[in-house]
Amino acid sequence: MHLARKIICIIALCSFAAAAIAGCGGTQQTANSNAPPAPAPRLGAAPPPPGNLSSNLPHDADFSDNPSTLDQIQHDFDVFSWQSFVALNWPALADGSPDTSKIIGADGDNSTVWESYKESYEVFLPDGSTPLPWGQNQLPAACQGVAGSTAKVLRMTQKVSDEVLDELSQPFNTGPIVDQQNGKYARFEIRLNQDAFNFIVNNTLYNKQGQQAFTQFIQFPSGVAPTPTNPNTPVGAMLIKAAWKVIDPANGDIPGRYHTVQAYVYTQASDNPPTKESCQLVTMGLVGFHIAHKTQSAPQWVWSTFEQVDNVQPGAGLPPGAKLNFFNPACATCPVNVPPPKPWDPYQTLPPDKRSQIKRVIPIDDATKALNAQWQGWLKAVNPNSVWQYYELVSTQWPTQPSASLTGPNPTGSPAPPFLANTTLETYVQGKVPNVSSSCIMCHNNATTTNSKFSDFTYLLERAQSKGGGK
Amino acid sequence: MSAQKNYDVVIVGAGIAGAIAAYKLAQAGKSVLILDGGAEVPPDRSAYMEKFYLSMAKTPESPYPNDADDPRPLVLDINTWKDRPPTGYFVQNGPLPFASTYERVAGGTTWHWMGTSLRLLPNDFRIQSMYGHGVDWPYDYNELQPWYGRAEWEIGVAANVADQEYHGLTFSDPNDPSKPYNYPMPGILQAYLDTQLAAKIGNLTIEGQQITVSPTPQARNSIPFDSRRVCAGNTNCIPICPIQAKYDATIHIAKAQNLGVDVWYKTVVYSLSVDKTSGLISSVNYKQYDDPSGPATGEGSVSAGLYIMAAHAIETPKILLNSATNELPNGVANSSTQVGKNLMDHPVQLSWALMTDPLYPFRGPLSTSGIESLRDGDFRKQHAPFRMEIGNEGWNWANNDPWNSVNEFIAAGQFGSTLKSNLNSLFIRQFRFGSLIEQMPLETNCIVPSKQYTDNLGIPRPEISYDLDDYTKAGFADARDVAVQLFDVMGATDHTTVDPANSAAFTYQGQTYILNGAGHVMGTYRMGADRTQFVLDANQQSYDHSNLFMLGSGVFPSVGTANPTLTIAATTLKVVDYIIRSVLK
Amino acid sequence: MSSDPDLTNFVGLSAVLTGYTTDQLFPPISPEPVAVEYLNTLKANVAATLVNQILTTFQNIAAQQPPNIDQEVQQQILDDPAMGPVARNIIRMWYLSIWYDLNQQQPITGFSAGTVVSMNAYTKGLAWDAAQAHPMGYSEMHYGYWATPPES
Ligand SMILES: Cc1cc2nc3c(=O)[nH]c(=O)nc-3n(C[C@H](O)[C@H](O)[C@H](O)COP(=O)(O)OP(=O)(O)OC[C@H]3O[C@@H](n4cnc5c(N)ncnc54)[C@H](O)[C@@H]3O)c2cc1C
Ligand code: SF4
Repeated sequence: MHLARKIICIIALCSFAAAAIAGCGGTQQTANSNAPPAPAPRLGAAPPPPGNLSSNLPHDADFSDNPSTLDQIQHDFDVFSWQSFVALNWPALADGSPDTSKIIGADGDNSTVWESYKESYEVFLPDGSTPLPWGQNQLPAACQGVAGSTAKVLRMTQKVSDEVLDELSQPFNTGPIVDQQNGKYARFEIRLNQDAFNFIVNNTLYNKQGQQAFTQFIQFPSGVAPTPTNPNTPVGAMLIKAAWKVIDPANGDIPGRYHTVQAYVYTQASDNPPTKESCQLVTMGLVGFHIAHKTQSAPQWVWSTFEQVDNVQPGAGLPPGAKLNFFNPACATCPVNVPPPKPWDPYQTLPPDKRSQIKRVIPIDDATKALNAQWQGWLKAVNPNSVWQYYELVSTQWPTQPSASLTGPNPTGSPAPPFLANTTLETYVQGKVPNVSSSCIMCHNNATTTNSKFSDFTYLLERAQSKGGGK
Repeated sequence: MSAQKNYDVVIVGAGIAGAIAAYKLAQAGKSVLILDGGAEVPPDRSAYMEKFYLSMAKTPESPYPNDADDPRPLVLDINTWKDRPPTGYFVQNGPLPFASTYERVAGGTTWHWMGTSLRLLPNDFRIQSMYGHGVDWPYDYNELQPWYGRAEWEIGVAANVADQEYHGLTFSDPNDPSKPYNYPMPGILQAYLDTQLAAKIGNLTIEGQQITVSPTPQARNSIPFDSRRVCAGNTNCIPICPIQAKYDATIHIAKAQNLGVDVWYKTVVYSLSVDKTSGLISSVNYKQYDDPSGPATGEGSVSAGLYIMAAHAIETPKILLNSATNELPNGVANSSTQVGKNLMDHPVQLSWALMTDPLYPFRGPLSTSGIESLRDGDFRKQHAPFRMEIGNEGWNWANNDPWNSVNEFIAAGQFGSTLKSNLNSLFIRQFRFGSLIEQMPLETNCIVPSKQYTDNLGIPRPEISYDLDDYTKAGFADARDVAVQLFDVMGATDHTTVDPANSAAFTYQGQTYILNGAGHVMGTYRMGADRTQFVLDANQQSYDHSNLFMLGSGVFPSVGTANPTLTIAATTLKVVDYIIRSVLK
Repeated sequence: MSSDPDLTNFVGLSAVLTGYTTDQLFPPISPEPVAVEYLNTLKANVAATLVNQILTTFQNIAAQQPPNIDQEVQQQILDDPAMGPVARNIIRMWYLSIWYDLNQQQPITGFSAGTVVSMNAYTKGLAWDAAQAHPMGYSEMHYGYWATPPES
């Protein structure tokens, strides 16, 4: 059974990496489905990666093991999550496509595929104009003078910025999280893959007027698993949300346990709380990672969520005495899962007793833990110093009734698990209260365009501004 | 509390009035402290929602904590209002029970308000001069008009101006009267039920007024607004919107805190002190608790240059009257002896019926339309006017459905597909009118601090005397007649029941009616031009203590038929602007 | 269907009592099946012998594949002085997500004493489905759905 799944994985998924990444624009590499794993090896190609590690981004979960129970289907989706995580974090070439001559984590850390995806601020521009084409990036003006060459911009200090709703609608602007090591606010970003970006651009959904003019029911493209007869299938829309924290060894951070980048930390000007605009170059480490992928088997999208292993509990191999990211075991009196006091000033360094004290409310399932150990083992086998072994899947949410009508009474398709939260992304809405506690599908089911049309489970379209910048 | 800052302003009450005031004062650079008796705003509303889901009786207060140290009235208290010792929070003297409630957590009663945001009509400001009843306001509609516009933008009201231009209501840009006005969001779509009723009513004139089903302006999102989601029609605005698509005052508490406003929670104010020489308010006195049913953990007082009472229309006068001293035997701000008097509500006449065709209630916001036609007209010389709210929750309010009918059918032996289809046929045809009647002020309708009964912290409980005058009752009777007339016109079957044994029953001209509360508590510290008749001047400043202002529906001299909260927000913005320009400049 | 015979019989009986299909009451792939919660609630509140009697009676009825199963359930269970009140409480539980105390003044009404089985159960009460609506406080539909009749 296990073997079967593995073989299918290779056939079904691996051949489509090129299409997935080079994407729906330029030359699509048509793969022969019977071909051995993956694109042609480059010169100096590395030995085959351990286990199921692959640069190939899955287009949908693989059900060739014919799952018949909830747990079995969950397993298939969890495998899909890990495959996606590894492929998205695969070493990237300059154009953002995966460098198949390399293996994830072989150098410890690496630049990644998804970090070349379009950041939401590049898509929903203040004047509602057409975004720059795929592959061309744009820096906020405030960052253009700042020394440094990386182009990653982290702007949000909580998941809501002032003038627009962010990806996870914050029912109460729920608040920032502050790391234990540095007392600094975590930062967030949302990126769109090319299928998602193209759908928005081709239908002019990046401004209010375009949304007004678009009268169809909004349906982002779905990923379709290739078959021998239909090898050339779409990846489907993907949205990636990432949470980052400041990494400073002087304050006890251990950089080797995080995927780190030099990022422009951009702070938008705001009236409430009063905040000045700025842009600084800071070393940031990845602590939370959310993948939403619309697929044929999941019109409600598949929601995979990963965390750095030291967020709220010590991960494997954390040296004794080292700090956790968002929990201080020594503080018995610190209020748990409560946002820092207002005013929420992104520039402040909070004193130790005001830093986030976050607990995971719903524990990670045992089956998922076992799967994590397996994939972490493969990642470690590449290189014992790989940063990627320090990430874990929290769970994958998927619709148990995917055929539910999206205009009917139960469009969410009864998600499993019913609740799912990332401690860095849905910190203050963890729990099991229907319609309030974090459930990716339930919450995103409320997402609309700027003119209140159902926006297919993404809040991004609410960010569209008026063409020309007017009201 | 930690070392005390020097505050420009202390506000009592973190409801919509107190929170908006704090926010606007902080925007103007003032240092502000709010004291609220309730628990802090939780990081998310899951605890409240959990309590709601698991409550057997899903009353307005069901999601919220019932804290002995910070008590409030409950809807079902009315069943036993005559009991002694009182089983509920209020001590009720009658002859009728006061049927409305409010909430005492930070954010106040907007946690479970419905969000209906109508403006008062021009003639509501001058009912004495126009119709010879009630009291005129100290200013007219035109003076409040720009503040209505600003309030609608501040809290986020969805409506289309074209639907609201009735009974002389005018709209213009608050900052430039020559320009047209737009609400911040387009109107909320009307329920299918509303459009069906409108079609069935057709062309009808009653008491000289053309009957029109109008879309209701509502403080809920019809488009993404103020970082909040669009209304998804959870049909639960009362008692709690799970997704905060509906405005509540926690929004302004958060905005105020982000501008540096301090909020002390679990801080119950029981009196104000007055400086004997200056006659100015010198401090606010409070008790604090930790465990909401435990003893007081602290007592203290806090001072500032200016004091604002915003604890709503029962708690505010209770505090003022509870501040009586030898020098001020009538209490604070009470040289007029009017504090606590003229307590008003919008008494609600409920009429419910079954339509022949399906209406599909229980879907969408609790009410999306109303009949505003009988809010004004010459008939106001004879009887009180009213607005007819069209309920979108079947017989939920009227008959506790679906719970009652499901049980009734099962008790009658129904099961299986028969039960299912009979319930379907019943529920999809249910509807109701809730007519909100303008109540006239009566000096004898009053709230005083009870001499006999105190709460857990030893603070006197509100003792209430309440009745309806004949003009109001005539309006109530007329509302019932009109409902019956409309049912006839629409071919609907009246199912309204009136149990004379009901604890809120009253008779008028030989007919029995059941009184319901609207939750609109008004008129206990009114403003007006004559300091012997009114507590406050037109700027809501105490005639007796110039550093004391009061906010909320307690200031309304007379109450019209608009749900009060938009007017609370508008008057609050107006007063705070005055304070910033003229008092704290 | 489940491998637990009690659950199978409970869901089968519930289908007759409520007018919904077994698949609607207990979807084959379901993250939080209320049927399981309801059976547990029943067992926690009613003597095991009586629960067994009800489930076995239903099992026997079902095994005979009677032409009119409703009638058999009515005569053998609902009209039975011991089983009837429990069976009616099962209907209430499915429709209203409430387990009403059986030892209180009869008939049970919307104001009788009881317990909401769980938050999950509340969101799946059948009364709301029968009304072609959704539980108050829990809707999955989108802005403006209320302006048109429900999808049938
Ligand atoms: C069921 C219901 C539905 C309603 N629907 C509508 C509607 O659709 N439209 C409309 O316009 N209005 C509606 N209302 C009325 C509306 O809720 C109130 O008018 C409004 O909330 C009053 O605001 P406020 O700030 O004056 O008082 P509140 O919101 O009551 O706030 C007062 C605050 O003061 C605090 N407080 C009280 N006593 C003390 C004390 N001693 N010390 C310290 N703090 C204290 C309380 O904790 C509270 O936070 C409704 C009311 C109810 C009950
Ligand atoms: S209808 Fe629902 S979503 Fe809309 S405001 Fe009311 S409770 Fe909130």
